[in-house]
Amino acid sequence: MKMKRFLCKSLLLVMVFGLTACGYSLNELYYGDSYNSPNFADNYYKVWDDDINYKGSKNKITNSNPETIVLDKATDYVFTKFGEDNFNLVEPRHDDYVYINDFTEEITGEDLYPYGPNNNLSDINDSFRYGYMSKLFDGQLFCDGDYEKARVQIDTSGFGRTFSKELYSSTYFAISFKTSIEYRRIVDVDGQDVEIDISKWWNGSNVGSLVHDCGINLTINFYLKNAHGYERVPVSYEIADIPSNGSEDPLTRANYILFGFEIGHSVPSLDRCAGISIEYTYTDAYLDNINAQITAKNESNATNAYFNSNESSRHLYGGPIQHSVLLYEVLFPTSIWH
Amino acid sequence: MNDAVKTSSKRKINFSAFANVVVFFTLEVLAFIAFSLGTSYILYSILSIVLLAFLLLVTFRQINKDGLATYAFFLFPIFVFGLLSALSVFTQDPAFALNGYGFFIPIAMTCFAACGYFVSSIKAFSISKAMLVIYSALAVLTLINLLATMLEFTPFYTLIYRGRYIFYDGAISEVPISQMAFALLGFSISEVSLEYFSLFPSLLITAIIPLFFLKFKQNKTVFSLYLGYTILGFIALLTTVSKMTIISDVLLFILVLLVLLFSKLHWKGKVLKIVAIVFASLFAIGFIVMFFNSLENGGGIFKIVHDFIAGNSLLNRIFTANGLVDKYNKILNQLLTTDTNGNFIWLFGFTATEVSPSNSWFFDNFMTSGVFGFFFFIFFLFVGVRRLLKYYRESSDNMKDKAMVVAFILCFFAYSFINYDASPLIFSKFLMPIYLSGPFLIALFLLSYAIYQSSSTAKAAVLSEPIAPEAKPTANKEGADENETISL
Repeated sequence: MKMKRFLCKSLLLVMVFGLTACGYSLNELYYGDSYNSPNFADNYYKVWDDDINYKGSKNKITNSNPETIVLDKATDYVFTKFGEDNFNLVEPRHDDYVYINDFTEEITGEDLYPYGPNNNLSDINDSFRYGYMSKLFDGQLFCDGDYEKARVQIDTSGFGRTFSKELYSSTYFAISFKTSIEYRRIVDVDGQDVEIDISKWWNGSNVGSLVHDCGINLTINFYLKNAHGYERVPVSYEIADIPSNGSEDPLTRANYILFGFEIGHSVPSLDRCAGISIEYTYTDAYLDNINAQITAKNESNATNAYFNSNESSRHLYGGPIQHSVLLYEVLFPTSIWH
Repeated sequence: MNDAVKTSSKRKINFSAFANVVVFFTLEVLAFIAFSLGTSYILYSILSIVLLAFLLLVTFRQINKDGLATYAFFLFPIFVFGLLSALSVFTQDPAFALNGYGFFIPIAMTCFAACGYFVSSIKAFSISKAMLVIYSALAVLTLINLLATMLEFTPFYTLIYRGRYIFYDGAISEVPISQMAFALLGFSISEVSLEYFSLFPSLLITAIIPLFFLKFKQNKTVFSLYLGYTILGFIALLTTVSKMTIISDVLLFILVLLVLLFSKLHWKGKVLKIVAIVFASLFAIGFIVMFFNSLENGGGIFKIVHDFIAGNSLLNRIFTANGLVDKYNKILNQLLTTDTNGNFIWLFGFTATEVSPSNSWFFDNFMTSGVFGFFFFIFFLFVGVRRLLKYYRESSDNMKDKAMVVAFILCFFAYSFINYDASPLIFSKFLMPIYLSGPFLIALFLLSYAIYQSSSTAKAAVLSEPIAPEAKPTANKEGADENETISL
């Protein structure tokens, strides 16, 4: 009888183990090659958490149609480059930082500290080390030859994710990104992988490039936690003449934008921020112009002798050309999270 | 007359009166170390020094000097192994767990082993209770690790989510989650390799041994505890099942079965010798073949063996093409690297940046302690196991305790031979060789206990009265645990 009772208790214990199987770390599982494709279209991060998906019906947003705050460069101390006057005004340690280096925590012998690795959120709070979004919190501001592995690539519809912690205080917000048009594509044509060099296809030769400037209207939503859900705070700013597809210069980092603004003016507070979404629209017609010419370009390339020795780039397969924002970092420098 | 006695008692302090306190302290330290707090090695070292000092105070008058001389044959190679490990290039690796404090290695190993010897001379010390304490600490650790892993993942995640990864610190994890678990390491719960996680439940399932000796009706509490520990270990292994842990646990199962067969059928002497010789010969042949085969640029006999293996598909699969042996080959090759003058440059160990740990203490010792450290390790293990088998044959301890001590030691070294992860953290290059692991120190303690018990002079040392009747060494017969309780 007692043995039976003991067995029942043991069974109960086993059931308790079953109940503890919450699977907190199973929310974000990936295959080894996830978001690591040479094709832009396969790398877009489009995850929106239900709670903050303001376009969806299951969200927990408490203010349905908030007015978008359009940032003012002067009054909100908006900066788009490291070292700009506004940046120097919002970042009191700007003289201690170097921008172009993101490999170490300190430049030995020079008393200088790389900006990214000394302001990354994963160092501020361990919770930012987990998940795909950790790419945006690891202090790596630039590609540095890591390509798809370093960036979070977004199309115009962007992404929206919640954090496991809430912002307690921060003086300014910043993101590091660049823009790029698709420069190569690997497609399956009749069972064979064909690698298309978009520049050659577009220019009809190996002369010319895809280097251009583009303009975007960036919209960042901050989601501030409250008793019933989240208050959405949409913020937008237009950035023109962003250099795209230029060669990487590690001495200038000219292709990269460090966009940010000071909290406390048009955006009075981001306290209790527990989520973010980033979207954008193009303010120029560069991409639309290229995509409108795909059929014509394919036809003209069909008789172009240059492609006799570059056959794989003669015809564009796989739909419209992609143009993306490549996000590298989201920063709340010297912030406190609870 | 009375005055003379009083004067005498004033002059000499009889520390043996503290025997019970020291035994209690020893059990506490045992529990702490079995709990395996990983990075707390320095704390273990300090505790073992303090404990040894107390034990010397309590036992120094009665301890037999002849027995000590015999014990020195075991303790000296441990100390030298510790010293060589501390001086090895390996400890210069920034990821080494004791970075900068390598000198604690010989201190902790020697002192803790010596504690096992000296405490054995105190009658109040009961191996039954010591084993219960060790297994209880292992069970608590396993329970914490299991709950942490199940909270983050789910039962059988190793099968359900094979080939799935998580992102950490901006990069995809090096291994899929089917090779990860969560465990208490240091004072925080971290992502660890499945091999490291499985070590503790694998040792815990050896708690099945006392169930074959105890009777439930007479020892309900103790029986239930060991049964619970076995079930816990089994559940932990089942819910995190993997090919590698199955292989290592089959090995443990065979060992446990052998120990049970020997102890239940009272096989000793010849049978024991034959089995030991067969196992040792198989192992020696395998190692020699692998050693010859690992030398990529060797000539003469090395080349003949190498070519013979390469020409045989079965041997080729085992010794060349198989990933498991490949890791051992890399260690041996690194060890035998020569400079332009033909001098061996890594004989005293090398860092893990050149070659990854092999998941086997046997081969990792070349890396962590150098070739001489390796030989001292093998020497003390040989002396220890030989005396352990003598303890098994001749000691007056009851068969349950003897089987438990033997099984714990053999199972730990067998499991760690093929599955000890010296770099347990998934997201950090934290290096924790076998000599820094809690179960290793426990095994040293138990080997020292076995050496003391196997010593022919052990009976000479008599100290304080036992604190409970069941602590007295009992006759060597089955069912002698009927009065066993868990009170200390």
